[in-house]
Amino acid sequence: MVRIYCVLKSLLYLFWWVPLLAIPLFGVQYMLMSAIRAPLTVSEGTEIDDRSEELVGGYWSVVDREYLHSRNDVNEVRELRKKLSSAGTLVFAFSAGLLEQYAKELLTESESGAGADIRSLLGDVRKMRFVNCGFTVGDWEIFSQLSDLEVVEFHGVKRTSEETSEEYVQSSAAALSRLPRLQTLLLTGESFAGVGRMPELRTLGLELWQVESFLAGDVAARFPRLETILIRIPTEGEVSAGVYARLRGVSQLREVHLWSGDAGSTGLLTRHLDNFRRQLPGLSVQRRDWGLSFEDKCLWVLLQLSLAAAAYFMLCGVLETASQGMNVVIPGVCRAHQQVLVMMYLLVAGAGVLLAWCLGVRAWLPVLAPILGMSLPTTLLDAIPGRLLRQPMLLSGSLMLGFSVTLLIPAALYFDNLYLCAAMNGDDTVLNLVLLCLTAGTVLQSLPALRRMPKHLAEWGQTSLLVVVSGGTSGPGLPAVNSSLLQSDLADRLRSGTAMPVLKSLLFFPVMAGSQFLFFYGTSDLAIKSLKSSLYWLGFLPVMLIAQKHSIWQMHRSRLWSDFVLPCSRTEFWLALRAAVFRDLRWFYLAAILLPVAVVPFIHSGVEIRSARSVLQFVLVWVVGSVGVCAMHHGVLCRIVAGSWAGWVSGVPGVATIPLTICAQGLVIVRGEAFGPAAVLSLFLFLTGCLLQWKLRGWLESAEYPSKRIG
Amino acid sequence: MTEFLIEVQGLRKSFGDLEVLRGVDLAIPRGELTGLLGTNGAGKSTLIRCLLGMLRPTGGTASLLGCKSWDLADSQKSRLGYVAQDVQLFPRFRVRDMVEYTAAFYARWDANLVREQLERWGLPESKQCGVLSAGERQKLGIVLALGHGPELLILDEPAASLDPQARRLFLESLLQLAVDGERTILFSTHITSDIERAASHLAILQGGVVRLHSEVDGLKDRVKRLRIPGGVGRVQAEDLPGVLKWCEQGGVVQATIDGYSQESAQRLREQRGVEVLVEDLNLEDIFLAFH
Repeated sequence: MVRIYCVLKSLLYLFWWVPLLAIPLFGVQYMLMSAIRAPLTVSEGTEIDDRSEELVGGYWSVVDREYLHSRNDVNEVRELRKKLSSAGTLVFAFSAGLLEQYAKELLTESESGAGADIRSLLGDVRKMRFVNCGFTVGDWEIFSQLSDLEVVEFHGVKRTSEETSEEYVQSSAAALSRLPRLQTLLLTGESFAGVGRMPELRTLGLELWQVESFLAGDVAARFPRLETILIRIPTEGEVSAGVYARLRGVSQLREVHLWSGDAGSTGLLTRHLDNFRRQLPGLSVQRRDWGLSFEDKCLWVLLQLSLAAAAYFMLCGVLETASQGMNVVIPGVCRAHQQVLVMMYLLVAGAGVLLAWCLGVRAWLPVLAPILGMSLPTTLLDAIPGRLLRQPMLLSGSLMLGFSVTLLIPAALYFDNLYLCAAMNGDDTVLNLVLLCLTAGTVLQSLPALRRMPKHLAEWGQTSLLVVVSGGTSGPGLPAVNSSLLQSDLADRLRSGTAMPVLKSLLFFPVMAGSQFLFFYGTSDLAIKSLKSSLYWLGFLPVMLIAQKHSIWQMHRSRLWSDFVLPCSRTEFWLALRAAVFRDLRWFYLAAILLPVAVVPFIHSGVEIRSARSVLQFVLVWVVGSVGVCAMHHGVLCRIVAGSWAGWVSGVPGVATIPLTICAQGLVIVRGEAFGPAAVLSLFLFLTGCLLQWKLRGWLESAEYPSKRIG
Repeated sequence: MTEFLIEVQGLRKSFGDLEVLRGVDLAIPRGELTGLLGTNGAGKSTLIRCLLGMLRPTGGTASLLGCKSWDLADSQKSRLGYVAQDVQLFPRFRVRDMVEYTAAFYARWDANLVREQLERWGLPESKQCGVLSAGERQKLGIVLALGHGPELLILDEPAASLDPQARRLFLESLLQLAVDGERTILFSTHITSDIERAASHLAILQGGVVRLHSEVDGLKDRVKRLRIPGGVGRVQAEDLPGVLKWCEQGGVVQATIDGYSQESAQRLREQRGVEVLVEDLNLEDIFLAFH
């Protein structure tokens, strides 16, 4: 036993010096992630993620762009143009003859006295990108009027069938030559044979087969500022001697970037790189990499270090917990129970801000980070029932979270996830809504939780509850106890017995979630034949967890009455019990109400609402009904736990939920059928819940405990 | 003036049509160690739960530490210790966690006493409550009830699950607690030997009322069995004070009386000319005599 103690103690001393190891380890992780960063994978130029052939640097520049399709009319273009910043990119995707179409619409407007030409519509756009678009000669004519363009990218652009190839090539070359400010040009497509003089062109992107024709003649005169050429080499492509000769002929050229557009051709590209370097000794030949800038990398290092430090402090917290159990005092500047927690939260919050700025996230999201950073742990600390579970779960959970975040962010960067980029930038309305609700919720939750923080912290030092809540010292006399705090702490105590089942339920959560998903996927698919509706299964997870918690509290009630004789008045006990049940279930309630609402936009998108009513009305019906059911459930559960109602009564809120569930499944929301009855039902549930809550305190305070049903 | 920590007057409690307590009167002063004796279903637990404010009396009053039981405040409850018939613990807690959990409620907690008691009862602090036997749970319940040094200790059949050795240990502990005369203890049981060994006073609950509340030693002096050979036809029940039981067998009268004195036995001999043999009774006999 003594030997084990000594070994553990030695380990603790060792771990105290973990930062010496932790920070380099995280640094190595960063370097590894940088080293294995491969060229971006080429996708098939989809509408969602079409950065596969991005020429313009700036990882997050993609966010500032708007998309135009053939279904957009000029008015919509005007609206999109307003959203776009002056540095933003306008993307034409999967369309044909779009510019010509706009010109005609503008002409029609002009005849009616309200219109303008294409320059008034798109004249001030500086960056354009065409993805899988069809161009007519007319389009090129109109395009040539956009003389302010500085960056233009053509990805898979092709001619439409009306024109001959020769006409098309001539018109495209002429149009591009009339863009005096063009600095960056990327040309991939079937018919770009050459362009005229471009005085400002600095970067040119070409297919391998285009190089010889584009760089023929006096390149220095045509492109006096050309410094960088990007060449796309096909997977099995071979580079002819003529290509090297043409490149050598461009005297002002500094850099040549190669890319294959195929993740599987890394070996081939390496071979080409070697050949290019050998053939062009005076030029910098590089693999095209969309990596971070130097400034970004500096921020990343800072981020990694701060996360490493945060993880270190979390680790110290965990170890300190164990050490306290062994009465070991760890030497060092920090005591885990107070300073470390605060430092940990500050560091995590700081890391959050850094991360946000590093990713180019707009202003309001970084503001959320420190708020969440400070309020979430407080709320979490309060939300986990029981000291025995709270301490290890919070600390190990934080530790895991820290590690996950550190791994997740480089992984997200590595996989170049556009959705994450957009989401982080605040472009996803649903996510914004969820984040705002989460922040508001946690802040509101953390305010009362903050009052309980001293108790939670002192709990780890085993100080008397009464002493802690009264702020007194342990002495011969009884301190005066603050009643509301005592109730609150008593509520926390009463939840202690539910702690381990919670842990168990969390462990089984993936299994439950999977089975629930399959079940609701099937039922929702049957209900409205829409795969999107299966997203509603998310709304049932909290319902399921509520049911599980319910059974835990029912099992727990025989234990609870033993606490009735603990030093608290009847009123305090019942109020504490009411609070305990609510505190245990509040997150599930909140999730049960909000999750289905949050997924409504997903279900709504692409599904025609047949009712004349707006989504908002359906959401309102759902929220009112859900709040009623939750209030009802809480009231019923309190009375069951108090022993005054039989367990089977718990089925009532469950049965009441069924019609509401059908609403959630989409029958009402999507089809608009039975809206009236659903609204009446929701109102009824709401009123019943409110009535139950209003009567609850009186019922509880007059309750006998234990009732004959238990006793 | 005598300070009564427990006062019950005309206490009645019904569950639907079933009237369990039918007017209980009981007053226990400070320092008394009282055993509450009753058969199964006599209402001992109901009486205790009414005293603790768990059940609302149908009629009458119950007071604890000078306060109405239904309205006990935290200050009264912090002076109170209670051990339930079926001690409920958190199954996943270890013994030490359970001690810490309970200790946190009290400003005064005698950790040394608790540690000593745990050792004395052979309860390992690292053992999980879920694997404790019924007897061990009971022991832990008793230890937990003592930690804050309660003025009033109420135990509902505390020794029911204990083995003989543990029961003896428990009774010794009770005596030690009561020795200073400041602590008042009420424990219910249907095991008369426990009361005989530990209690200074006895209260018998029968038919929903307290039939007897008396000092144990005085009770034994007061309640005797008289054997009167040839007494059939010559001695009537009215001739004896407080007859609890009357039996005639083979010409011998056997009478259990409450209120025995040497003078009354001598008077009977002289008036009826019969031989009167006086037998001492143990508490079990006395308890049965009251039924």
